[in-house]
Amino acid sequence: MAEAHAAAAGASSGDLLPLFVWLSPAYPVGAFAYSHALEWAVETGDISDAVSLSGWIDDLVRHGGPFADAVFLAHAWRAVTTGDAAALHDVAELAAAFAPSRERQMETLNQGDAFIAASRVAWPNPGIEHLDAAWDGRVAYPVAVGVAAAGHKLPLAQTLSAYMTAVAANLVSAAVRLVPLGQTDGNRVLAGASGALRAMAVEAERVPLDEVGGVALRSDIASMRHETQYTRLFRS
Amino acid sequence: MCVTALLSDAAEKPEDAASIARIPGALRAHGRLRFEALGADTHTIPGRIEEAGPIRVRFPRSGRHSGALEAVLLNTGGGMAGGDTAAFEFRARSGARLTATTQAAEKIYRSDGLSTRIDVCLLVEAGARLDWMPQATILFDGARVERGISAEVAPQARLLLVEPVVLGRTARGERFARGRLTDRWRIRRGGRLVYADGLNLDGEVGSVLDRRAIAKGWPAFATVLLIAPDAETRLEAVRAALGLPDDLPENIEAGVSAWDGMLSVRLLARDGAVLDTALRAVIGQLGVAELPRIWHS
Repeated sequence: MAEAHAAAAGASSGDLLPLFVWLSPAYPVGAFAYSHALEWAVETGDISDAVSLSGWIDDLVRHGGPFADAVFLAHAWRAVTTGDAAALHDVAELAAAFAPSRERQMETLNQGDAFIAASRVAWPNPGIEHLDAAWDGRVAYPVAVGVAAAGHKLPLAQTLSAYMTAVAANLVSAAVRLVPLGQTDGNRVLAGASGALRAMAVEAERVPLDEVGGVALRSDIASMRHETQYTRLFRS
Repeated sequence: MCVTALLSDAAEKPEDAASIARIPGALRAHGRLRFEALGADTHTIPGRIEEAGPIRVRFPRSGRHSGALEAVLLNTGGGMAGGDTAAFEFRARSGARLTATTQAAEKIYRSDGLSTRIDVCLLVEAGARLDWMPQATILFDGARVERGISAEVAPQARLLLVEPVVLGRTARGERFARGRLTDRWRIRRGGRLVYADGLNLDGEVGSVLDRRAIAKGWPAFATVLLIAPDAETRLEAVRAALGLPDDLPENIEAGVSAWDGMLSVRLLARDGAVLDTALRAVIGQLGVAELPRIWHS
C-alpha cells in the first residue's frame, strides 16, 4: 500500500511517462495478437488500401468498439478518482459483458487481465486496490487502463487521447501486415486519424455509462466471421 | 432500465396503471402490459394480466406441439408516434413455456421532436422458457426511438430474443436519412450481467449508415440472442442454416458466435423481406422455439 502510494505520488502533474510505457507495444498485454476483426475486413476486400483503411478506422473511432471502450475508461477513471466503489463495480461489470462476439470479449478481457497483472507488479497503485475491492471478475482492457491511470493520478483527457491513439496504432499495424501496406502509408493513415481521435477522446468524457454504444454493425459481424476464417494471423 | 416494479409490486400499488392512463397529452399514447405465464403440468396458462393504454394481449389457440403458450401483442393505436411509450413486462414462472410476439410489424412514425420510448423487461424463472420474438420494428424516416431490453434469467432457464429492425419503408424506397434509434440490452443470468449491447444512431444518420464498418447502406438488421445451458452446442447448426461460412446469399450479411452459455446472431440485409427469410431459417435451425403461428398469416 505504502509503495503504491509512493508510486502514485511520483507522478507529478504533467508527468505522462506511465502512459508511454503502458500503451507502448512492449507492454505485455499482447495487443499485437488482436485485430478487432480487421483481418476479416481485409479478407472481404472492405479494407484494401490506405483510403479504405482510413475509413474503417474512422468508423471504429466514432461508432465502434474503440469509442465505447473510451467511455468505459473515463468512467473507471472517475470511479477510482472519486472513490466510488459502486460506480467502479458497474463500469467493470458492463465493460466485461459489452461484447458482440466471443472473440471481441476475449480481446478485451485477455488484454485487461494482462494489463492488471503486469501493472500490479511493475506499477502498483491504489487504483488496482480499489478495483480488487469493487469487482472480482475479469477486467476489460479500458477499465484496467482507466483504473491504473487514476491510481497514478494521470489526467483523464491525456489518458483518453493516448489510449485511443494506441488502439488506432495497433489497428494500423495489423493492417500494414495484412493488406499489406507500406509503413509510410500506415503512418499517413494514423496521422490522418488524429483529428477524429482527439475529437472522440473529448466526446468520450461526456457519455453517461447507460448511454454507451455505437453502430458498427459490420465490424461486429466481421468479428463473428473471423472465427471461421481459414487463414488467420490474429486472435480476433 | 428494467421496470423494476414487478408484478408483486403492482399488487401493492394498484394506482400505478391508472395513473399512466390519466397522463394528459391526449395525443400521446402510453401503453403498458404486464403478464405472467404459469407452468401447469404439461402446458402453460396465463396468470395475472395488466393492460393499460392501447396495448392488449391475446392467446390464439395455436395447436402448438411444443406446449408453449403463445401470447400475441396488439397495439390498438396502430403504430407509435413521437412521445408515445410502451412498456412490456413478461414473467415466465417456474416451469412455464411462453412465446411472446406481436400481431404485426410495429410502425414508428416521423417524430415532431419527441422520442418514442419502448421498454421490454423479461423475467425467466427456474426451469422456465421465454421466447421474445416480435415482428419487425419499422422506423419511418424521421422517427425517433429509444428502446431498452432487460432480462433476468435463472441459471438453468432459457431465453430467446429475436429483434428485427428495418430503417425506412424500404418497400416504397424510403431511406432513413435522419432520426434517432438507441437500443440498450442488459441481460442478467443468475444476477450476473452476461450480455450487454448499446446501439446509438442520431441525427443525419443516412451518411453514417452508408459507411463500410456500419451498414454499407443496408437498412434491415436483427440480433438473435439465445441464453441457455446448451446454447453453444447449436453454433454449427445455426451457421449452416445461414449458409455460413461460404454459401451466404448476396443480399445478406450474417455472423454467429457462441460463448459463456450464449449464442448470438447478427444479421444485416438489403431489405426487410430478406431479413425475415433469414430469421425464419435461424429460428427453425435453433430448434428451441416454434415460429409464432401469427408469423404465418
